[in-house]
Amino acid sequence: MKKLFIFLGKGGVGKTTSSAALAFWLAERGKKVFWFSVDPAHNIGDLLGETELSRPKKVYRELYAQEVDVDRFLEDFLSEVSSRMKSLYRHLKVSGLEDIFDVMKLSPGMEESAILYAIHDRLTAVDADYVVIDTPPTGLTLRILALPTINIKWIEALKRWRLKILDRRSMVAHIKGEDHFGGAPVKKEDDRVLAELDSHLEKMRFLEDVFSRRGFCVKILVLNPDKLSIREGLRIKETLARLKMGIDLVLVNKWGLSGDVLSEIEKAFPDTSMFTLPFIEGKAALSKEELLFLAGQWADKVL
Amino acid sequence: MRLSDFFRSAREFFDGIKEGFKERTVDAVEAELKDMEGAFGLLLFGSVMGMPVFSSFVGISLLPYVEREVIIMLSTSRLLDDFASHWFEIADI
Repeated sequence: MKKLFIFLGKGGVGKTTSSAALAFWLAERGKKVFWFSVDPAHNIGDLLGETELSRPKKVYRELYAQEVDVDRFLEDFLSEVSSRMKSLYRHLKVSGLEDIFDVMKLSPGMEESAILYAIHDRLTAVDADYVVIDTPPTGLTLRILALPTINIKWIEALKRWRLKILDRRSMVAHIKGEDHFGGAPVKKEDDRVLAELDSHLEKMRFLEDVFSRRGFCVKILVLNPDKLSIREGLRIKETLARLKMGIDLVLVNKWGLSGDVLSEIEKAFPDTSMFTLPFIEGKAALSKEELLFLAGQWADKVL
Repeated sequence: MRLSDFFRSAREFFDGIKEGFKERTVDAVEAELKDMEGAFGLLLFGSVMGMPVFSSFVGISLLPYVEREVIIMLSTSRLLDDFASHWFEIADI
Protein backbone atom coordinates (compact mmCIF):
# COMPACT_ATOMS: atom_id res chain seq x y z
CA MET A 1 0.00 0.00 0.00
CA LYS A 2 1.43 3.37 -1.05
CA LYS A 3 -1.11 5.74 0.44
CA LEU A 4 -4.24 5.77 2.53
CA PHE A 5 -6.87 8.50 2.13
CA ILE A 6 -9.34 9.39 4.88
CA PHE A 7 -12.17 11.86 4.27
CA LEU A 8 -13.45 13.86 7.22
CA GLY A 9 -16.30 16.32 7.60
CA LYS A 10 -19.81 16.98 8.81
CA GLY A 11 -22.54 14.57 7.70
CA GLY A 12 -23.91 15.39 4.23
CA VAL A 13 -21.04 17.62 3.02
CA GLY A 14 -20.03 15.20 0.25
CA LYS A 15 -17.43 12.88 1.81
CA THR A 16 -18.64 9.83 -0.12
CA THR A 17 -18.80 11.73 -3.41
CA SER A 18 -15.29 13.14 -2.87
CA SER A 19 -13.90 9.72 -1.92
CA ALA A 20 -15.59 8.23 -5.01
CA ALA A 21 -14.09 10.95 -7.20
CA LEU A 22 -10.57 10.19 -5.94
CA ALA A 23 -11.06 6.40 -6.22
CA PHE A 24 -12.23 6.64 -9.86
CA TRP A 25 -9.53 9.19 -10.71
CA LEU A 26 -6.81 6.83 -9.40
CA ALA A 27 -8.31 3.84 -11.22
CA GLU A 28 -8.50 5.90 -14.44
CA ARG A 29 -4.72 6.30 -14.15
CA GLY A 30 -4.22 2.53 -13.96
CA LYS A 31 -3.76 2.29 -10.21
CA LYS A 32 -5.06 -0.59 -8.13
CA VAL A 33 -7.48 0.97 -5.68
CA PHE A 34 -9.52 -0.36 -2.75
CA TRP A 35 -12.33 1.96 -1.72
CA PHE A 36 -14.32 0.92 1.32
CA SER A 37 -16.82 2.33 3.73
CA VAL A 38 -17.07 1.69 7.47
CA ASP A 39 -19.94 4.11 7.91
CA PRO A 40 -22.84 2.23 9.53
CA ALA A 41 -25.08 4.25 7.15
CA HIS A 42 -23.30 3.21 3.95
CA ASN A 43 -23.96 4.95 0.67
CA ILE A 44 -21.19 3.73 -1.65
CA GLY A 45 -23.74 1.27 -3.05
CA ASP A 46 -26.28 4.08 -3.66
CA LEU A 47 -23.66 6.09 -5.50
CA LEU A 48 -22.63 3.14 -7.67
CA GLY A 49 -26.12 1.73 -8.11
CA GLU A 50 -24.93 -1.57 -6.60
CA THR A 51 -26.88 -3.47 -3.96
CA GLU A 52 -24.35 -6.17 -3.04
CA LEU A 53 -21.03 -4.83 -1.81
CA SER A 54 -20.50 -6.94 1.31
CA ARG A 55 -17.31 -8.30 -0.33
CA PRO A 56 -14.76 -6.36 -2.41
CA LYS A 57 -16.22 -5.99 -5.92
CA LYS A 58 -14.53 -4.73 -9.05
CA VAL A 59 -16.53 -1.67 -10.09
CA TYR A 60 -14.21 -0.02 -12.64
CA ARG A 61 -10.84 -1.08 -14.10
CA GLU A 62 -8.72 -1.97 -11.01
CA LEU A 63 -11.07 -0.23 -8.56
CA TYR A 64 -12.57 -2.52 -5.91
CA ALA A 65 -15.34 -1.27 -3.62
CA GLN A 66 -16.77 -2.69 -0.40
CA GLU A 67 -19.27 -1.66 2.24
CA VAL A 68 -17.93 -3.30 5.40
CA ASP A 69 -20.79 -4.61 7.49
CA VAL A 70 -19.55 -3.65 10.97
CA ASP A 71 -22.52 -5.33 12.71
CA ARG A 72 -21.72 -8.58 10.91
CA PHE A 73 -18.02 -8.22 11.79
CA LEU A 74 -19.00 -7.81 15.46
CA GLU A 75 -21.38 -10.78 15.35
CA ASP A 76 -18.68 -13.03 13.86
CA PHE A 77 -16.22 -11.92 16.55
CA LEU A 78 -18.73 -12.57 19.35
CA SER A 79 -19.73 -15.98 18.06
CA GLU A 80 -16.07 -17.01 17.78
CA VAL A 81 -15.43 -15.90 21.39
CA SER A 82 -18.60 -17.66 22.55
CA SER A 83 -17.64 -20.99 20.97
CA ARG A 84 -14.08 -20.71 22.34
CA MET A 85 -15.53 -20.04 25.82
CA LYS A 86 -17.70 -23.14 25.60
CA SER A 87 -14.74 -25.31 24.65
CA LEU A 88 -12.31 -23.92 27.25
CA TYR A 89 -14.45 -23.20 30.32
CA ARG A 90 -14.75 -25.91 32.94
CA HIS A 91 -17.44 -24.22 35.01
CA LEU A 92 -19.58 -22.44 32.43
CA LYS A 93 -22.66 -23.10 34.54
CA VAL A 94 -21.35 -21.00 37.45
CA SER A 95 -24.05 -18.41 37.87
CA GLY A 96 -23.09 -15.08 36.30
CA LEU A 97 -20.45 -16.39 33.94
CA GLU A 98 -22.63 -16.39 30.83
CA ASP A 99 -24.28 -13.11 31.86
CA ILE A 100 -20.92 -11.38 31.58
CA PHE A 101 -20.79 -12.14 27.88
CA ASP A 102 -24.32 -10.84 27.32
CA VAL A 103 -23.67 -7.58 29.19
CA MET A 104 -20.24 -6.96 27.69
CA LYS A 105 -21.38 -7.22 24.08
CA LEU A 106 -23.79 -4.33 24.68
CA SER A 107 -21.21 -2.17 26.49
CA PRO A 108 -20.45 1.37 25.31
CA GLY A 109 -17.59 1.68 22.86
CA MET A 110 -18.13 -1.68 21.16
CA GLU A 111 -19.12 -0.06 17.86
CA GLU A 112 -16.01 2.17 17.69
CA SER A 113 -13.77 -0.78 18.52
CA ALA A 114 -15.49 -2.99 15.95
CA ILE A 115 -15.00 -0.32 13.25
CA LEU A 116 -11.33 0.05 14.24
CA TYR A 117 -10.68 -3.70 14.09
CA ALA A 118 -12.65 -3.94 10.82
CA ILE A 119 -10.37 -1.25 9.35
CA HIS A 120 -7.33 -3.25 10.51
CA ASP A 121 -8.80 -6.37 8.97
CA ARG A 122 -9.34 -4.68 5.60
CA LEU A 123 -5.97 -2.86 5.53
CA THR A 124 -4.04 -6.06 6.21
CA ALA A 125 -6.14 -8.30 3.93
CA VAL A 126 -6.29 -6.32 0.71
CA ASP A 127 -3.62 -5.88 -1.89
CA ALA A 128 -3.93 -2.40 -3.40
CA ASP A 129 -1.67 0.54 -4.25
CA TYR A 130 -4.12 3.07 -2.84
CA VAL A 131 -6.79 2.68 -0.17
CA VAL A 132 -9.62 5.19 0.17
CA ILE A 133 -11.80 5.05 3.30
CA ASP A 134 -15.27 6.54 3.44
CA THR A 135 -15.69 7.23 7.14
CA PRO A 136 -18.65 7.75 9.47
CA PRO A 137 -19.56 11.30 10.58
CA THR A 138 -16.99 13.41 12.42
CA GLY A 139 -17.35 12.41 16.09
CA LEU A 140 -17.09 8.68 15.48
CA THR A 141 -14.18 9.04 13.04
CA LEU A 142 -12.17 11.21 15.43
CA ARG A 143 -12.68 8.68 18.23
CA ILE A 144 -11.52 5.90 15.88
CA LEU A 145 -8.37 7.86 14.97
CA ALA A 146 -7.63 8.44 18.67
CA LEU A 147 -8.32 4.87 19.83
CA PRO A 148 -5.06 3.11 18.81
CA THR A 149 -2.86 5.38 20.96
CA ILE A 150 -5.16 5.12 23.99
CA ASN A 151 -5.60 1.36 23.51
CA ILE A 152 -1.81 0.87 23.46
CA LYS A 153 -1.46 2.52 26.89
CA TRP A 154 -4.32 0.48 28.30
CA ILE A 155 -3.11 -2.86 26.90
CA GLU A 156 0.43 -2.21 28.14
CA ALA A 157 -0.98 -1.57 31.65
CA LEU A 158 -2.97 -4.83 31.44
CA LYS A 159 0.19 -6.68 30.40
CA ARG A 160 2.12 -5.33 33.40
CA TRP A 161 -0.71 -6.44 35.72
CA ARG A 162 -0.82 -9.86 34.07
CA LEU A 163 2.93 -10.37 34.46
CA LYS A 164 2.61 -9.64 38.20
CA ILE A 165 -0.12 -12.30 38.43
CA LEU A 166 2.04 -14.88 36.65
CA ASP A 167 4.97 -13.98 38.89
CA ARG A 168 2.88 -14.63 42.04
CA ARG A 169 1.48 -17.85 40.53
CA SER A 170 4.95 -19.21 39.86
CA MET A 171 5.97 -18.42 43.48
CA VAL A 172 3.01 -20.40 44.80
CA ALA A 173 3.45 -23.19 42.23
CA HIS A 174 7.06 -23.57 43.32
CA ILE A 175 5.82 -24.72 46.74
CA LYS A 176 2.42 -26.23 45.98
CA GLY A 177 2.91 -27.43 42.40
CA GLU A 178 1.40 -26.19 39.12
CA ASP A 179 -1.71 -28.36 39.56
CA HIS A 180 -2.69 -26.13 42.47
CA PHE A 181 -4.22 -23.64 39.96
CA GLY A 182 -6.49 -26.21 38.34
CA GLY A 183 -5.16 -25.76 34.81
CA ALA A 184 -4.75 -21.96 34.90
CA PRO A 185 -1.41 -21.05 33.28
CA VAL A 186 1.64 -20.39 35.44
CA LYS A 187 4.37 -19.78 32.88
CA LYS A 188 4.41 -16.76 30.54
CA GLU A 189 4.83 -18.95 27.47
CA ASP A 190 1.66 -20.92 28.32
CA ASP A 191 -0.51 -17.88 29.00
CA ARG A 192 -3.09 -17.26 26.24
CA VAL A 193 -4.04 -13.93 27.88
CA LEU A 194 -0.55 -12.53 27.30
CA ALA A 195 -0.55 -13.86 23.73
CA GLU A 196 -3.95 -12.24 23.08
CA LEU A 197 -2.81 -8.93 24.61
CA ASP A 198 0.31 -9.01 22.40
CA SER A 199 -1.89 -9.59 19.35
CA HIS A 200 -4.06 -6.55 20.24
CA LEU A 201 -0.94 -4.49 20.87
CA GLU A 202 0.49 -5.38 17.47
CA LYS A 203 -2.76 -4.37 15.74
CA MET A 204 -2.98 -1.08 17.63
CA ARG A 205 0.66 -0.20 16.90
CA PHE A 206 0.06 -0.91 13.20
CA LEU A 207 -3.00 1.37 13.15
CA GLU A 208 -1.31 4.11 15.19
CA ASP A 209 1.56 4.09 12.71
CA VAL A 210 -0.76 4.05 9.69
CA PHE A 211 -3.01 6.88 10.96
CA SER A 212 -0.21 9.16 12.10
CA ARG A 213 2.36 8.76 9.29
CA ARG A 214 2.41 12.10 7.44
CA GLY A 215 2.51 11.77 3.68
CA PHE A 216 1.18 8.20 3.86
CA CYS A 217 -2.17 8.74 5.57
CA VAL A 218 -3.71 11.70 3.76
CA LYS A 219 -6.56 13.38 5.63
CA ILE A 220 -8.92 15.38 3.47
CA LEU A 221 -11.43 17.71 5.09
CA VAL A 222 -14.64 18.22 3.11
CA LEU A 223 -16.63 21.39 3.82
CA ASN A 224 -19.63 23.16 2.42
CA PRO A 225 -19.65 26.94 2.11
CA ASP A 226 -21.70 27.46 5.27
CA LYS A 227 -20.79 28.53 8.79
CA LEU A 228 -21.84 25.29 10.55
CA SER A 229 -19.68 23.18 8.30
CA ILE A 230 -16.70 25.56 8.74
CA ARG A 231 -17.05 25.47 12.54
CA GLU A 232 -17.15 21.69 12.56
CA GLY A 233 -14.10 21.70 10.30
CA LEU A 234 -12.27 23.84 12.85
CA ARG A 235 -13.15 21.40 15.63
CA ILE A 236 -11.82 18.55 13.50
CA LYS A 237 -8.58 20.50 12.95
CA GLU A 238 -8.20 21.13 16.73
CA THR A 239 -8.90 17.48 17.65
CA LEU A 240 -6.46 16.21 15.02
CA ALA A 241 -3.80 18.62 16.33
CA ARG A 242 -4.25 17.11 19.82
CA LEU A 243 -3.64 13.69 18.22
CA LYS A 244 -0.53 15.13 16.53
CA MET A 245 -2.21 14.76 13.13
CA GLY A 246 -3.04 17.37 10.53
CA ILE A 247 -5.33 18.10 7.60
CA ASP A 248 -3.58 17.73 4.25
CA LEU A 249 -6.23 19.23 2.00
CA VAL A 250 -9.50 21.15 2.31
CA LEU A 251 -12.22 20.62 -0.29
CA VAL A 252 -15.01 23.17 -0.30
CA ASN A 253 -17.77 21.17 -1.91
CA LYS A 254 -21.06 22.50 -3.38
CA TRP A 255 -19.40 25.85 -4.06
CA GLY A 256 -21.81 28.51 -5.22
CA LEU A 257 -24.72 27.11 -3.24
CA SER A 258 -24.59 29.87 -0.60
CA GLY A 259 -22.79 33.15 0.12
CA ASP A 260 -19.10 33.84 -0.32
CA VAL A 261 -17.34 32.54 2.78
CA LEU A 262 -14.01 31.77 1.11
CA SER A 263 -12.09 34.39 3.12
CA GLU A 264 -13.50 32.88 6.33
CA ILE A 265 -12.39 29.38 5.25
CA GLU A 266 -8.93 30.65 4.24
CA LYS A 267 -8.60 32.31 7.65
CA ALA A 268 -9.63 29.07 9.42
CA PHE A 269 -7.17 26.89 7.45
CA PRO A 270 -4.32 29.25 6.53
CA ASP A 271 -1.61 26.61 6.02
CA THR A 272 -3.63 24.01 4.09
CA SER A 273 -4.16 23.68 0.32
CA MET A 274 -7.76 24.35 -0.60
CA PHE A 275 -9.98 23.72 -3.62
CA THR A 276 -13.53 24.76 -4.37
CA LEU A 277 -15.73 22.27 -6.20
CA PRO A 278 -18.83 23.46 -8.04
CA PHE A 279 -22.31 22.32 -7.07
CA ILE A 280 -23.73 20.12 -9.83
CA GLU A 281 -27.46 20.71 -9.87
CA GLY A 282 -30.26 18.18 -10.20
CA LYS A 283 -28.19 15.04 -9.52
CA ALA A 284 -28.80 12.45 -6.80
CA ALA A 285 -25.62 10.60 -7.83
CA LEU A 286 -22.90 11.83 -10.14
CA SER A 287 -21.73 9.97 -13.23
CA LYS A 288 -18.20 8.60 -13.55
CA GLU A 289 -17.33 11.48 -15.92
CA GLU A 290 -18.57 14.06 -13.42
CA LEU A 291 -16.62 12.39 -10.60
CA LEU A 292 -13.46 12.40 -12.75
CA PHE A 293 -14.04 16.08 -13.60
CA LEU A 294 -14.33 16.97 -9.89
CA ALA A 295 -11.25 14.95 -8.85
CA GLY A 296 -9.24 16.34 -11.79
CA GLN A 297 -9.18 19.71 -10.03
CA TRP A 298 -7.42 18.52 -6.88
CA ALA A 299 -6.45 14.83 -6.84
CA ASP A 300 -2.90 15.24 -8.18
CA LYS A 301 -2.13 17.45 -5.16
CA VAL A 302 -2.57 14.54 -2.75
CA LEU A 303 -0.51 11.96 -4.63
CA MET B 1 19.85 -38.46 75.60
CA ARG B 2 22.80 -38.60 73.33
CA LEU B 3 24.16 -35.43 71.76
CA SER B 4 23.32 -36.60 68.18
CA ASP B 5 19.69 -37.21 69.23
CA PHE B 6 19.54 -33.74 70.67
CA PHE B 7 20.81 -32.19 67.43
CA ARG B 8 18.35 -34.26 65.35
CA SER B 9 15.45 -33.12 67.53
CA ALA B 10 16.64 -29.52 67.35
CA ARG B 11 16.91 -29.74 63.54
CA GLU B 12 13.40 -31.19 63.30
CA PHE B 13 12.12 -28.44 65.58
CA PHE B 14 13.66 -25.66 63.43
CA ASP B 15 12.60 -27.39 60.18
CA GLY B 16 9.06 -27.36 61.52
CA ILE B 17 9.28 -23.65 62.28
CA LYS B 18 10.75 -23.02 58.80
CA GLU B 19 7.94 -25.00 57.16
CA GLY B 20 5.40 -23.04 59.20
CA PHE B 21 6.84 -19.71 58.04
CA LYS B 22 6.97 -20.98 54.46
CA GLU B 23 3.31 -22.00 54.63
CA ARG B 24 2.30 -18.63 56.06
CA THR B 25 4.33 -16.76 53.42
CA VAL B 26 2.81 -18.81 50.60
CA ASP B 27 -0.66 -18.26 52.06
CA ALA B 28 -0.01 -14.50 52.10
CA VAL B 29 1.25 -14.55 48.50
CA GLU B 30 -1.75 -16.63 47.48
CA ALA B 31 -4.17 -14.22 49.15
CA GLU B 32 -2.50 -11.32 47.36
CA LEU B 33 -2.63 -13.29 44.09
CA LYS B 34 -6.37 -13.90 44.46
CA ASP B 35 -6.94 -10.17 44.99
CA MET B 36 -4.87 -9.38 41.90
CA GLU B 37 -6.72 -11.97 39.81
CA GLY B 38 -10.09 -10.62 40.93
CA ALA B 39 -8.94 -7.08 40.14
CA PHE B 40 -7.75 -8.21 36.69
CA GLY B 41 -11.23 -9.59 36.05
CA LEU B 42 -12.71 -6.30 37.20
CA LEU B 43 -10.42 -4.27 34.93
CA LEU B 44 -11.76 -6.27 32.00
CA PHE B 45 -15.38 -6.88 32.96
CA GLY B 46 -16.26 -4.19 35.51
CA SER B 47 -19.13 -3.00 33.32
CA VAL B 48 -21.04 -6.08 34.48
CA MET B 49 -21.09 -4.42 37.93
CA GLY B 50 -21.68 -0.90 36.64
CA MET B 51 -18.07 0.23 36.59
CA PRO B 52 -16.60 1.90 33.50
CA VAL B 53 -14.31 -0.35 31.48
CA PHE B 54 -11.89 1.01 28.93
CA SER B 55 -12.25 -1.51 26.12
CA SER B 56 -15.01 -4.09 26.22
CA PHE B 57 -13.75 -5.42 22.89
CA VAL B 58 -10.36 -6.38 24.38
CA GLY B 59 -12.14 -7.75 27.47
CA ILE B 60 -14.43 -9.99 25.44
CA SER B 61 -11.53 -11.34 23.39
CA LEU B 62 -9.83 -12.42 26.64
CA LEU B 63 -12.98 -13.92 28.16
CA PRO B 64 -12.29 -17.54 27.05
CA TYR B 65 -8.93 -17.53 28.89
CA VAL B 66 -9.78 -15.96 32.25
CA GLU B 67 -12.26 -18.38 33.80
CA ARG B 68 -10.36 -18.45 37.11
CA GLU B 69 -10.18 -14.64 37.33
CA VAL B 70 -13.88 -14.22 36.54
CA ILE B 71 -14.93 -16.79 39.16
CA ILE B 72 -12.74 -15.08 41.79
CA MET B 73 -14.14 -11.66 40.82
CA LEU B 74 -17.75 -12.86 41.02
CA SER B 75 -17.34 -14.77 44.28
CA THR B 76 -15.42 -11.94 46.00
CA SER B 77 -17.98 -9.39 44.90
CA ARG B 78 -20.84 -11.50 46.25
CA LEU B 79 -19.19 -11.72 49.67
CA LEU B 80 -18.54 -8.01 50.00
CA ASP B 81 -20.89 -5.33 51.31
CA ASP B 82 -18.94 -2.63 49.53
CA PHE B 83 -17.18 -4.33 46.66
CA ALA B 84 -16.22 -1.12 44.89
CA SER B 85 -14.14 0.23 47.80
CA HIS B 86 -12.42 -3.16 48.16
CA TRP B 87 -11.37 -3.21 44.51
CA PHE B 88 -10.41 0.46 44.49
CA GLU B 89 -8.15 -0.20 47.48
CA ILE B 90 -6.40 -3.06 45.65
CA ALA B 91 -5.91 -0.93 42.55
CA ASP B 92 -4.66 1.95 44.76
CA ILE B 93 -7.28 4.35 43.38
